[in-house]
Amino acid sequence: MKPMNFKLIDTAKIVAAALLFSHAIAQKEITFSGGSAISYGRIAHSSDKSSLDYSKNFLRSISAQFLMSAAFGDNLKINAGLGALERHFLPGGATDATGRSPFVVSPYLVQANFAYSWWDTDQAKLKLTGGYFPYTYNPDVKNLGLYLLRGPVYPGILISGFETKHIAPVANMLGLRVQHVSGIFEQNLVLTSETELYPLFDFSPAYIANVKLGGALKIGAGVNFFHWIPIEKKLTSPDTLAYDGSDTPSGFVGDPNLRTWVYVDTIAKDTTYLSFKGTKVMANASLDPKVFFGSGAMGANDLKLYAEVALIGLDMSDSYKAIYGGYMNRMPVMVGFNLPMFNILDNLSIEAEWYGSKVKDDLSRYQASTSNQMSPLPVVNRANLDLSRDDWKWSLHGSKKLGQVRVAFQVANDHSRPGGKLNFPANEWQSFFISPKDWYAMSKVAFFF
Amino acid sequence: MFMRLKRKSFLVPMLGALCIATAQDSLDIKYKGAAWFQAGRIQHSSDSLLNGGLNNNLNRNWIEAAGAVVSTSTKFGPNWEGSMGIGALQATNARGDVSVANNWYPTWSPFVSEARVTYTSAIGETQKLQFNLGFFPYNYNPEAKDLGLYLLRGYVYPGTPISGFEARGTTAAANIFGGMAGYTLGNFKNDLLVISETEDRPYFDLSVADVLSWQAGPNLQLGAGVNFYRAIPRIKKNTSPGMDCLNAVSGYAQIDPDDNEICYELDTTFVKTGAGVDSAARVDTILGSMSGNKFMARFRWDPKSLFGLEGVWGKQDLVLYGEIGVLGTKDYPKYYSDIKRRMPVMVGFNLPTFGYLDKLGLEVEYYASKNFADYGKATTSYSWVPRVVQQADKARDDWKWSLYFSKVTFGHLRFSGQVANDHLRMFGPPDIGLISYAEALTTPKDWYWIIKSTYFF
Repeated sequence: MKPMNFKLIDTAKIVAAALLFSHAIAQKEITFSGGSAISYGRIAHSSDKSSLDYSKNFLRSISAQFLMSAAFGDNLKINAGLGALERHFLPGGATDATGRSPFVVSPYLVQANFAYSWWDTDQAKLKLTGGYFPYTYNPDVKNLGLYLLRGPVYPGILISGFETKHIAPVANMLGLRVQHVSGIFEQNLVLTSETELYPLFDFSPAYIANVKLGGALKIGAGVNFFHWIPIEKKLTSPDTLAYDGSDTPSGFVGDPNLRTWVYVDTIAKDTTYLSFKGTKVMANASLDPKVFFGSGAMGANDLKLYAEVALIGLDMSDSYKAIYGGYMNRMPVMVGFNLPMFNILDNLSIEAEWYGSKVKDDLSRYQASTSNQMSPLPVVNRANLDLSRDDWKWSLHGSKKLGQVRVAFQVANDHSRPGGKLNFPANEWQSFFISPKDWYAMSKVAFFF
Repeated sequence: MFMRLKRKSFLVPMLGALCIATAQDSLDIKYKGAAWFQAGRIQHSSDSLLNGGLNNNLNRNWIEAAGAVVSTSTKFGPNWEGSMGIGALQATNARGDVSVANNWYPTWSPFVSEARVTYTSAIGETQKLQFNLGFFPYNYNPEAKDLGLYLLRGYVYPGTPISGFEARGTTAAANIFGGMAGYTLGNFKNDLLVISETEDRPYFDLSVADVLSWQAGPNLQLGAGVNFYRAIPRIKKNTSPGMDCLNAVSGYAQIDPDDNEICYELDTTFVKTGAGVDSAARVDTILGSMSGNKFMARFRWDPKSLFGLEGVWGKQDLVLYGEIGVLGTKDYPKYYSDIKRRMPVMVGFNLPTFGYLDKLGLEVEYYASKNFADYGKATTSYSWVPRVVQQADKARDDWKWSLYFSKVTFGHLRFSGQVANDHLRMFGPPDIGLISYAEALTTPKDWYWIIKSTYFF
């Protein structure tokens, strides 16, 4: 089908027609893909010992997955795939949990989606994807970045780690995505349903666009209206004091972050109800200088320079500034560079990030708990950690495909976190790495087909 | 829908490695898969506030889930077929009241969609034998979209029907663990099932059921069935507790702690002690059992060809269907004294859509049970005695209704949805004592809606 001039009204007609009429489409083929992977590594140093001491803890996981993709005609594709991940909760120090590392096996959806393409060529594309699907707006990122679509707004906690689902070709969002490509310009409209962070199921519309200039330079930008379409407004933007009494004067003592849904300016005698919803904006760019002088013996990814800057939360009212700081406290800046490897490795990427957040890097207040209400306020810095010591992050990632085997490794100081504790799932969501001395190393061997 | 695999596009799958890796060339393997996303809301739920208090308030609770399933079926020989499937479902526990939304979290559940072996043998042109063993789907009334199918789902004592939106029993996923022997003779079909209980405690009791269907002409189908529910208990004293049982509720904190009717009923009757003397109360201890007999009769009538109404009508349009059941033939005083109150009656009608929808089914049910619709005592404490909630008006849930639609587009995308007041249950927040087995919709004001998109091959 030849691409036609894109008009919104034409697209609406196409979608309406698709929904109203049905006709069987001949199935062309089913393709199978899948693989298994083992990951192994160690936290070399973790400074935050206010909870468990994770220094020297080993990290290990095993996963297996497969995916069935069925194409119907030239336009429709359906993907269904399942996987299972075996990982373990970290024991902390020898005296923390008597060395126990309970294992847990978790199923996951590799993909569960349909994709309908009205047209699909290198230069032109109009495609609707719905369900559980993978999407990354910046494929250059190996670890640090992609914050437009991962992590909450208030507080602006960042999510990253070793080959997380946001990097891997595994579903990382539930919703709808409309992708439009026209020559050098691409735009995406994404509507996601929240499945991980409280409050669940709120819808977040996002728009991401990029333009490729001369084959060497790609510039992109995006906006995410995070939780702007709430399922239950009083959960997303509470207008009452917290039910556990932590917001009432009689029930509140101490650090303002001990409250739950309000910020009280004790000087101005002003109470502000806080919200989980917010807006993020992002800009990114990548430059491949090989276009100017040829790649020679270098690999396809060598010498690529890429960067991303985001602004997490645009509310600059007095109360929000008091809690989360100004623009500079909400603006992660990341730069990455693919070192030349001449195909010895497929990539060796070094990434550096600066994020001057004034909040503790801890997602605990977003976790389900029988005792505490979730809160957009930061976790209280009870241990009086120097929160400026985690402003800088870095990551060195490498990978190589050898036939049907892929090897990857990473050494980093990033936003990895324990992901809970077996007996108290709402605990242990702080980042392992809070000072320049902290780092970890991970490796992975994967078999795929 | 099964799809034949093309060799050139075939890459070695993880699943089904055993049957594929060996005699691939001699096996006929078909693959199918599906993925879905559904969302909806309980708009009104009257009695959830009675059931566990404010925390279990299900009003305006959002319901959302997504999942995928992949399965294969393999023919190995002219008569034998095996099928297996696995899936994963992302859902959540019920949110409950907004004040306890801190208990709300996503869950991931793997499941087996099918695990069976089937032997089929044709006997002449009009007879067929079929044996199923394992975990397989069975639906004696494919016309039922929501209400009905109570012969094979739900307890007898207490008589708590199970239904919901595309619930187990109405979909292609397995719902029977056990074996089936089916015999077809012309327009008659008889299925004998032995079912091992894997959903409702006490587990692994065996039930024996027989279902008969008769295609009485091109327009009319009749059916009947019996289920000797839990006829062969695994541990008799669990299914039929006697006087020596503990008589204490376990693990269901929503129940009145003074409830002393767990293993048996205490039926207070009044006996005249003599002429001119007031009656004296006498308490009879009534022993009972979770086992019992269920009966079912149903019909399906498609009048289109009878009245020359083919052509513009959709294939499913104007079909009228109904089912009546008996949930327990044995009377027990006090809670199960009237068999008419153990007889759900359901009627459904496929409204005409002229092909714009595949199905638009309106179902109505009348079930005059005067027991609170809650099987929590049964599943937590092996109690055949229903739970009593004095404040609930048990007459207000006698009528149920459901309006269901579905449409397949492009052959592999299916949209469906439902608006209903049915036997939906939401397992409440996981906080201690808040889990609930009670129906969410118990008065005429209660209803919910849900929509779903499914992509399948």
